[in-house]
Amino acid sequence: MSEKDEVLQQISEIKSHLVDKEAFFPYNYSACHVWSAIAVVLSLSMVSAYEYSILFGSVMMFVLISIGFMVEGSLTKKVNESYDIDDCTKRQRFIMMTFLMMSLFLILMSSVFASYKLYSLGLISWLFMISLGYFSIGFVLNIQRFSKMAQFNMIAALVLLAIGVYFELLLGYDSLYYTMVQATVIFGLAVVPTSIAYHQRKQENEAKVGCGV
Amino acid sequence: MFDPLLHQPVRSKLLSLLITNDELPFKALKEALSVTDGNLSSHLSKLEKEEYVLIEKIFEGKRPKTIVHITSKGKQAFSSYIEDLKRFIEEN
Repeated sequence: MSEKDEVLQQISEIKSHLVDKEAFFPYNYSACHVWSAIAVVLSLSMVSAYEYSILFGSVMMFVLISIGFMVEGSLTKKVNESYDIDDCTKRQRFIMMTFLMMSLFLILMSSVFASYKLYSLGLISWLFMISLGYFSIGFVLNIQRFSKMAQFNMIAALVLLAIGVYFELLLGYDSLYYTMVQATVIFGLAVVPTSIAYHQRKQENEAKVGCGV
Repeated sequence: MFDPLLHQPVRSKLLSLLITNDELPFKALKEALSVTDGNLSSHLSKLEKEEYVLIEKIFEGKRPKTIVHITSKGKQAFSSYIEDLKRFIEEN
């Protein structure tokens, strides 16, 4: 390698390290696996819980989401400890707040939809809104995979909604349409995020090995 | 031609991180640079000797914590180093 190439490489490495600490503190991708598991449980048990009672369904949703936030909080704490950081960074707080607000809004919306037996609409709302959350994460953390997944999910949610409205399938839960919605939610909010988290973690580990000294 | 202290991959990256953040915990630097404790300590000692960085050891409760600060001399040296790199590229 010529001296010029070495200097160019040096400049490029310096550039890549000129980052604010808010930007390089990592996101703990294990949280994605937890949220994926919650998405599966939520989509499979939503109807039974709301059929039992609206209050029971809402409480169950709240408990599931709270578990998710508690686990994510402890995972964030763990990853911050490896950086000797005690508080949440602005970036982590932004992610947490976005999802918290969205979840509370969705719990409220789901209970309204459930009271009219519009279970498919409830699931479609979760798919759309949580994907919007993932889109904001993708934007803030510059993870294109998250942004693309979110866009795909949001389009899928709109298509499902259009089909449901056009063929009047939104009511009830004993139809092929409801199963299709359930499968899309599981795929979009559980399978894909898990796979992305796996690839992101793998990529970060490879990058670490690559710049190891 | 280049500042020998800064014309080294780990030390230049270390100063890049500090110049944007002013101060960072030792552990954060270690994680961001993917180096071992010993390796980072050795680079920091060299930078501290030239007064490019200031190492502060504090206690948070009972837990010791090492904070690395960049000094004004360190900021100046880093800026000069970047200028030298730019000049080299322009001339070659």
